[in-house]
Amino acid sequence: MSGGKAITCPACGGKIEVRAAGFTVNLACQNCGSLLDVSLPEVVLIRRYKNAKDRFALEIGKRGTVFGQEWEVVGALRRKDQITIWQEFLLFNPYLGYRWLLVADGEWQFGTPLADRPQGDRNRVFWRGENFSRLGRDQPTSTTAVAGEFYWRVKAGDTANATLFQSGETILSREVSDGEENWTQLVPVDETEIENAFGLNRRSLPRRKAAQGLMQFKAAPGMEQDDLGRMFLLAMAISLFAAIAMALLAGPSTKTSSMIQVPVGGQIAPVKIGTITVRRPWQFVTIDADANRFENRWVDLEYNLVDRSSEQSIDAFGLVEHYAGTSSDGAWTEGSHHGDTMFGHVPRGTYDVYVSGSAHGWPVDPAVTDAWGSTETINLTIEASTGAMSWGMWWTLVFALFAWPVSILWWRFRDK
Amino acid sequence: MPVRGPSLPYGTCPYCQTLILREGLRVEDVGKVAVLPFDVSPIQLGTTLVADGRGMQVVGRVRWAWAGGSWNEWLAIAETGAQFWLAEAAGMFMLTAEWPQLLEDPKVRSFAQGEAITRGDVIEVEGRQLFASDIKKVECLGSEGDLPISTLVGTRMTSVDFRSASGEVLSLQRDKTSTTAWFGDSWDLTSLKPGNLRQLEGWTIPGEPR
Amino acid sequence: MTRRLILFAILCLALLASALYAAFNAYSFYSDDEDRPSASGHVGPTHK
Repeated sequence: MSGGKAITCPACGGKIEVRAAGFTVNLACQNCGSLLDVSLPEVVLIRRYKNAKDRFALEIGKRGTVFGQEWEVVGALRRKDQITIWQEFLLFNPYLGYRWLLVADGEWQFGTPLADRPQGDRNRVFWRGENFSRLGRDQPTSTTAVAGEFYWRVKAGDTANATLFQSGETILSREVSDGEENWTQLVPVDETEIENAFGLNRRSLPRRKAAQGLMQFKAAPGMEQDDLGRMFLLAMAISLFAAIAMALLAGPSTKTSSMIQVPVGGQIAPVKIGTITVRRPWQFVTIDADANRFENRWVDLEYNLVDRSSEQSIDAFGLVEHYAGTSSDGAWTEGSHHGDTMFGHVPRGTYDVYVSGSAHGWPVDPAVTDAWGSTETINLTIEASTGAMSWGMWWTLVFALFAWPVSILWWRFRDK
Repeated sequence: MPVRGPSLPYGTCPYCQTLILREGLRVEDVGKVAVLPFDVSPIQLGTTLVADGRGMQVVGRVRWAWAGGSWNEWLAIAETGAQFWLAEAAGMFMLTAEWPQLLEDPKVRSFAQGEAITRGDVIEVEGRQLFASDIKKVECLGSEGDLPISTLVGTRMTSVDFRSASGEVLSLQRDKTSTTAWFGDSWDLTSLKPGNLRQLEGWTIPGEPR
Repeated sequence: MTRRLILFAILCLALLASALYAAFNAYSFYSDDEDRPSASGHVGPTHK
């Protein structure tokens, strides 16, 4: 039992010890989590909560020695900015006043509030004979959970704008909220010292955020610059540049086209569509097949690019299929009257384009229907061209470029 | 009833919470003051302090409340009889002495006449710029010991704190009848070389001031 | 510039270089050569 005072929680009726009586303004009931105003003799309920569910790395009420002086943990805050989530603990000793302990990503810092403000400009401040330079940019921070007692009006949802200045291992933190400016000096302290002093609730430490792979290169907590915007810009610029460069590398273009007829239930021997020329060392050749309307048919197409000089053939296959029907879910269609085929890595040369193929009905080939014995055919326009770029490759690049910044974004908004 | 500051007009009886006004040999019962709520202040009546080489002793206390909380103002008397207010806020201390020459300052004068001061207003004292940082309406919560002012329940005043970058403080206090100006510095307790601190159960008084 | 931004820039340039190399050689993950859709016997719609 310390020299505190006990009050009764107006929300749950539980007994609460006020550890810094006379200094504490707001207090979150240990039993029900309700926020109370204890600055006046009558306790006022500010906000009722059902249970104190938030757990912190240090337990309220623990006493321990840090840097040779005894402190009691009286308050705990969970705070976040765009990059990190961390916990702050308010330490109290009636003879020494208040101090802070901050923990993020396994790093602990001991904070002392400053009565003498550092002087300087946006990027550099001077304090007690030392120069401190700004670390990162201003970060809007917000409080997401509170426990214990505080000497100011505190609540979840409080926001402040924080700026850090560094000189060696010492950091000066400036927080501005509601026009009030508070400076705190932060020095690193070993986790073992904190564990020996107060005991540590390791499971309630702020989660280390995916410090694997490339993420382990992220800067120390609260010290990062917000580089996400630049990542997106960079990814966007490279995507745009790649589209232009890939289109230029794909050209120049030659085209040829012709119409063919494929009998349903039969096949056609190779037909020459035309001639195309690959003018770069390597190019893509695309062949588009565009069919007339049909239903419940499929057309298998085989394309041959025959090099005029070597008589070598490059083969690829295309498929045009379209089906329609009615099931218990209603009418459905499947497939397309259009089929694109792309040849990759076609060497320089002049090519004759041949197409052969067969067409079939589904589920069975149709019978010959009219008296003339004429057969149903499918008309296809086949167009072969060089100089196209592979949009699939471009989208793959875009996906890879944005994967990292998008994961950072996701990771940032994943917690609360 | 013990009298620690014989030069001070008001005293609070620790047994019956009666505020007593002493005028010459006459003693007048002014009214009741509220019982001070329990707190864990390390200061008590009789605590001694040394600031800038001047010794002083705490003889009285007023507790003020405002919309954002409440705090103690301890009255300390130096051997010369000079009065100091020791304000206690969030474990930091502000020790101020009366600075009557400031009442001539046009900004202070207009404040004394009822004008408002807004946050960020500047006043220069002793060549230093001080910025208005705290403007609040305060109400007396209770008192103990000997005091220069009446602290009956419901006593109200307007209090404006100015601060400099290096920690100097100027406090302007305006009540119904008068305005006073107090100027001083921020301290932590150990640098005030305190003696006869209050023994708080469960805590050890830190060793000799370093 | 943060370290991870520099790393990201390096990654971006590596990706761009590979994409341009592939484009120059007309390589694509999505080209249809040697990929015969009907080779194993086409059976019509997959609708159930």
